[in-house]
Amino acid sequence: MFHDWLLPLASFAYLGLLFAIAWYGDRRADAGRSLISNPYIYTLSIAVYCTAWTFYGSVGRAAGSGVGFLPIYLGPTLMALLWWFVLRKLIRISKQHRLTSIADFIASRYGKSTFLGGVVTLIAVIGIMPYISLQLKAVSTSFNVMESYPDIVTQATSSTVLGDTAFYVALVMTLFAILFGTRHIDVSERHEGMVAAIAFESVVKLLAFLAVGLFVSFGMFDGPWQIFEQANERPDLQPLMLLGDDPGEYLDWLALTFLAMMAIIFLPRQFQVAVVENVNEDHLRKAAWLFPLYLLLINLFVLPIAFGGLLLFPEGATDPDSFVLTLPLAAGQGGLATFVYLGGLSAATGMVIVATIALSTMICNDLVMPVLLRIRALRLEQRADLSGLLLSIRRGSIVLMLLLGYIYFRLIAESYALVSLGLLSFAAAAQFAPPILAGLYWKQASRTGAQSGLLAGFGIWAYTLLLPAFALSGWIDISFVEQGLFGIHWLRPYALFGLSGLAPVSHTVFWSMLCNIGLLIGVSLFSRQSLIEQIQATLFVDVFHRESSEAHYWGGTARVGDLRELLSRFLGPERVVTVFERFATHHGDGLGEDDIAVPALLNDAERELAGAIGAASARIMMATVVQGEALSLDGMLKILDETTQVIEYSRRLEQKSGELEKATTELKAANVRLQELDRLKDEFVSTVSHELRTPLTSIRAFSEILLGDAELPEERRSEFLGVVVRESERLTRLVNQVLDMTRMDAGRAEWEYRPVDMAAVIDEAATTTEQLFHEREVVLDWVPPERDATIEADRDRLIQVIINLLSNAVKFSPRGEGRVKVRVEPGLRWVQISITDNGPGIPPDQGEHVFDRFHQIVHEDGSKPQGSGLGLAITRRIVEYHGGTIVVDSDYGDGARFIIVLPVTAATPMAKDDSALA
Amino acid sequence: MNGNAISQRLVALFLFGLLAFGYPLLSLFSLPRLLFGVPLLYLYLFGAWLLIIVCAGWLLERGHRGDGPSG
Repeated sequence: MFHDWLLPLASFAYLGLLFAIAWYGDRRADAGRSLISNPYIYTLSIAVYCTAWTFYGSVGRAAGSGVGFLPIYLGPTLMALLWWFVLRKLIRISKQHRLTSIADFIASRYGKSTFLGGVVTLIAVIGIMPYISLQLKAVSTSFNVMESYPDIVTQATSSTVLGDTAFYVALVMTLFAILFGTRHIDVSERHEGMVAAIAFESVVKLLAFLAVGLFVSFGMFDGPWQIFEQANERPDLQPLMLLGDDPGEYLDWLALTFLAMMAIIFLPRQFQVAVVENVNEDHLRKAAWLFPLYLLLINLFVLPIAFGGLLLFPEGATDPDSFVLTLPLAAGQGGLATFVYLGGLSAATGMVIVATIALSTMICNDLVMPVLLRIRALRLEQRADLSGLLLSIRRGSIVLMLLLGYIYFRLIAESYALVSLGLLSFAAAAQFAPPILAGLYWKQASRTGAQSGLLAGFGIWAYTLLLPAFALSGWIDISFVEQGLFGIHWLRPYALFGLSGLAPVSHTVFWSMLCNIGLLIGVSLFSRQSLIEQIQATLFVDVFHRESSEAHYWGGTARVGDLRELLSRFLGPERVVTVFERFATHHGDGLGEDDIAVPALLNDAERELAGAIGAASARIMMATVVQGEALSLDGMLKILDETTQVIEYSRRLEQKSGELEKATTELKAANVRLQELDRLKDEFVSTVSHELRTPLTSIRAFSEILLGDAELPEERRSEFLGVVVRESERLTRLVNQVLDMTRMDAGRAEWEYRPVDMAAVIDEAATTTEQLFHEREVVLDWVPPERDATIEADRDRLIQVIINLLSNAVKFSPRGEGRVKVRVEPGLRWVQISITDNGPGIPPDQGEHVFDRFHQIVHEDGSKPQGSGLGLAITRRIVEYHGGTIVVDSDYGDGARFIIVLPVTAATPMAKDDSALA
Repeated sequence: MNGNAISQRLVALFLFGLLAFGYPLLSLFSLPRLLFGVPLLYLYLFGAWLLIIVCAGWLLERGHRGDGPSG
C-alpha cells in the first residue's frame, strides 16, 4: 500500500530525529546544563521497560488469554512501591562505588570477584538474546505488514538472509546503538544523550498507542463499552473476560507478577536507566508513582483493541500481535498506521539501544578486560592509551549482541509469540534477584553462595526453558522434551521431577528460584567469607549508616605519577587532570609526581577506574601500581569497626543496667538493715527502761515502808536503807554505762592515748576487784609477763575493760573452786591478753551474741546471772576503738576464755561508727 | 512526616496490592458480567491499579512537602 521508499525513509528520518535529540542531550550535559535532570525524564527513561513486546505483544496476548497480559505491568507497579528502599539503596551503592552494570554490582558486592562478574555477564548475554530477537521480529513483521497490506503476511522470515527484513533491521539497529552508546572517546558510565532520546521515544510510543486505541474504540466502534458488549455475546470470546477456575492459572498469574517485579529492576537495561543513569535519587519519589501511571495508560486500550480485532477479522486471518497496525490499515488510515509503526519502532529501538549498551559495558568490563589484563603477553599494562581499545571492545560487543539476537530469531523466534520470547528473558534476569537482594540486606551472603545459586538457577533456566525452545523449533530431537533427557522420565524439562500442571515459565520460575535461593542461603551459611568480601558486604549493607565510603583499605603505597599514568591509559589524559584537580581542591594536598599517594587518593583512583572498566578489573589494575600489602589492616578494621562500635555501645548499655541493678540491690539491703537497726533501737529503749525500773521499784518499795512505818526497829531500818543505797548505786552504774555507750556510739567520747603498761593496768583492775574475788572465794591467777607490754591506749578505758572481764569471770566461776587466769603476751606489734575462767562456759550457739547489748546468757537450768547486759558490749566497743579485737573461745561446760588483741601503736583508732546504735 | 513512616505506609500499600492482584480476591471478580459496559474483572483490575497509584502518589508527594526546602 506504500511506496517502497516511503517507509524506510520515515524510519530513517525518525531514527535521525532520535539521534539529534541524543546529540543535543550530550551537548547540554557537556555544558553542565543537564537536560535529563528531572524526575519526569527519569520516569520516561524507565519506561524503556515497554518494548515492542508491550506495543504489539500485549494485544496478541490479550487476544489469546484476556487479562493474561496484565501481570507484566502489575508486577512493576507493586515493585515501584518498594523502590524507595530497594532501588534507592542500589543507586546509593552504585554511585559510591562507581558501579556501571549488574555484573559489576554483583562482582563488587561479593569481593570484587572477576569470575562472578563473568558468570553474570554470560547469563545476561544468553538470557537477553531472545528479548533482542523479539524486537527484531516485531519490527520486521510490522514493516512487512505495512509494506504488503492488504496482503496478509504471516511469515516474517524470508528464506535467504539478504532478502530478510529482520537482517536489515538488525544492521540498522547495530549501527544506531554504536552511534549512541560508544560515540564518545570518553568511556564514562553515563550517557545523558541516550537517556534524552529514550525519554522522547517513550512519549512517542505512548502517544501512538493511545492514538490507535482511541481510534479503534471511538472511530471504528462507538466506544469501548460497545466492543465489550459485542464480545460478550460471542461465546468464543466470553472466556477471555474471566480468569480460569483452575488454581494453576492463578499460580501462573503469580509467577508472571513475580517475574515482572524482578525484571523492572534486574533486567540489565532497567538497571542501566534506573540505577546507572540516575542523576538524583530523589527523582525516585516521583518516578515511583508516575511510572505505574505510564504503564496504566499504555495498557488502557489493549483490551478494546484486542477485542476489536477479534470481532472484525475472521478467526486466524490476522496475527493478533499486529492488530494495532492492521486495524487502522483496514479502516484506511494509512497515516495513523505509519505513526503507530513509528511508535513500535520507537519501543523496539529504545530497548535494543539501552540493552546493547548495558550488555556491551558488561562484556567489556567483566568478561573481556579481565581476561586481556591477565594475558601477560599482551602487555596491556604498558600501552599508553587504552580508552580506544575499550571503545572497540564495546562496539564489537554490540555487533555480537545483535548478531546473536538475529541468529536466535532465525533459529527459533519465528514459531513463538512475542510475549513468550520476552518471558524467556525475564526468567533469566530474575536469576540476578537473589544475589542482589541478599547482597543488599544480608551481610553473610557469600561469594560461593551467590556463585552456586546463580549457576544452578541459570542451569535450570537453560534446561527447562531455553533447550526446549530449540527442541520445539526442530534443532534438537523433540523426544528430549517428551521423554526427558536419555529417556529418563523425571528429567522432562517441562515437568522436572514430575512437577506438572504449571505453564513452562512458572515451572522454570519455581525450580530455578528454589535452587538459586536455596543454594545462596545454604552455601553462605556454611562457607567462610574472605576479608574483602566482608568489607564489601559491610559497605553495601550499611550504606545508609555511614557518611561516605571514606574507608581506605589500600595498605600499600603508590607514586602519584604512576597513578596518573594508569588512570590516563583508561580515562584519557583530560579526564585525569579533572580528577586530580578535584582531589587537590577537596583535600588541599600537593600532588607532585614523586609524592606517595595518600590512601584517599588511591580510593578515588580505584573508583574512577571502576567507572570505566568495572570494579573487578579496576582492582587488578590498581594492584599493578600499588606496592606492598594489598589490604591495610587498619582500614579494614575501621570498616568492620563501625559495626563493632554499635555492638560495643549496646554492651555498655547492658553493663550500665547491670550496675544499676546492683545498686538497687544494695539499697534494698541497706534499707533492710536500717529497719533492723530501728527495731534494735526500740528494743534497746525498752530494755533500758526495764532495767531501770527494777532498781527503781525496790527503792520505791523500801522507801515507802520506811516512810509509812515509823515504828520499824532500827536494825530493820538500816537494813532497808542499805538496800536503797545499793539499788541507787546500781541505778547510777546503769545510767553511767548507758551514757558511756551512747557517747561512744555517737563518737563523742574523749579518748586520751598515752603509753600504758598493760601489766600495770591489770594490777590495778585486780586490786579493784579484789573484794569481789574474795567474796566469791575465787582465786586470781595473774602472772605479769617477763617482757615489757607497753601500748598506746586510753588507760582508764582499758582498766574498765579488764574490770568488766574480771567481774564477768568471777560471776560465772563456781563459788569456792573458781579460778580465773590472766595472761599477757606482748608481741612486736600486738599485745594479747587472755582471761580464762572455769565456769560453765558459753553455749556454742551464743558465742558471738555475748557481745550484744543486754544479751544475757540463759543456761539450760533457766538461771540468769545478774548484770546489766551492757558490760561486754561496752568492752567490745572500747577494744575496737583501739583498733583491736576481742573474741570468746569456749568449750561449753568447761569454762570460757576471752582473748583481746590490741595494737602496740594506736595510730589509727578504728571507730566502728557504722554499727552504731542510731 | 519522617522517612520511616512513609516506608511503612508504602510497604502496607505493597501488601495490599499483592492481596488485591492475587488469588483468591481476584477470583471473586471473575464473573461473566458487564458493569458500565466493561467486564467486571477488567474494571476491578484497572480500578485497583489506579487506586494504588493514587495512594502511592499521595504518600510520596505529601511526604516530600513535609521535608521542607532541603528535601
